[in-house]
Amino acid sequence: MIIALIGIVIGVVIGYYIPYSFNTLYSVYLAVGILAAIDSVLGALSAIIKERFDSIVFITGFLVNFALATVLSYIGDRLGIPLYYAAIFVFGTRLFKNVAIIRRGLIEKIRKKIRN
Amino acid sequence: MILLKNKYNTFLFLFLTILLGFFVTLLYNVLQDNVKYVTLSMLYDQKNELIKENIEIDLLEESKERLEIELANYKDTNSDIIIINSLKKEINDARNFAGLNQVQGQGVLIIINDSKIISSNREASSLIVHDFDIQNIITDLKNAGAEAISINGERVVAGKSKIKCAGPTIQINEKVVAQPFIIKAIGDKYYLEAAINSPNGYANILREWNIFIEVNTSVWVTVDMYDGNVKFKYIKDYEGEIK
Repeated sequence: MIIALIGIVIGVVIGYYIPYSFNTLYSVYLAVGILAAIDSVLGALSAIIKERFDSIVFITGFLVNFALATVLSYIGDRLGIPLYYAAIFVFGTRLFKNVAIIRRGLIEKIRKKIRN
Repeated sequence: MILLKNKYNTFLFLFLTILLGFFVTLLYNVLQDNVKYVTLSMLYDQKNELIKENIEIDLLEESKERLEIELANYKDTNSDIIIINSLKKEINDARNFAGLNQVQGQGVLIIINDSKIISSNREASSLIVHDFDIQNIITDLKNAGAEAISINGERVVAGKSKIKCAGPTIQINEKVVAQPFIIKAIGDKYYLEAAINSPNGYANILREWNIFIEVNTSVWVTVDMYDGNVKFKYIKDYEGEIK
């Protein structure tokens, strides 16, 4: 849990100091990709809580979801259909589900600690 | 909770979360300049707009060059004859524009006649050619780029032409003309022909009423000048700075 926060903070700092920028045209694709990445990280956290974490599943999920969401929104833009809605719906729903699992897991752990 | 059981997993997790944080900051930086994201279709529209504007700029520059050359001609020349000739040419252009000259050029000759098919279930007024029919045909021709139009020898001018209903006949300018109406128009002959023959044109509606319309293209149409009154009663010259 804390390692995720540490990682994100380091990433933000790196991103802040690297003066790299890209065409605004592609920002929507990156935004959808970020949603997929957040979903993967939260999925990994919930897997850690359930003690079923698998690094291969995590890394492939992260990369494939990121790539698929980005490509899907690009293709949708080309075809004139907002296909990135699909990514937003799927990852948005899963995001809330994963947060719920993490919340319950944490509550249980804290309760156990209090009991002991 | 800080570290996972496996050291390798910990580093992997750290790396990917760093990547996530990096992407978020990247996006934040890019969107900082108050720029909305643009879809490809919007981009395409704006490209088209840009092309249009550029064409307009080119045209304006062309006309600017032309006017500058004209101005230079006026300035350079000391001879009165050249100035007089140039002014005469300008007057002639203005008269052409106003329809006060007899003009020639390629164009079309349109013949419109009342319907010959009489049926008992239709009103007689639907069989004859009305003033608004002629007016709509004229509008179609003007939209197709006609530069000079006359109806039975009466020139249609921008300023004072009238097309009026006069019973079974039509009054054009001050003269009453009867069928068959012969409309002469100067312009691109194929465009003008298409304006009359196109399925969306007004002529097609008239054809459905069995009114006779025929278009002939010609390489040499002569259109008469406007010979009516050119004096205006109410127009006064604008006093003040001219734009």
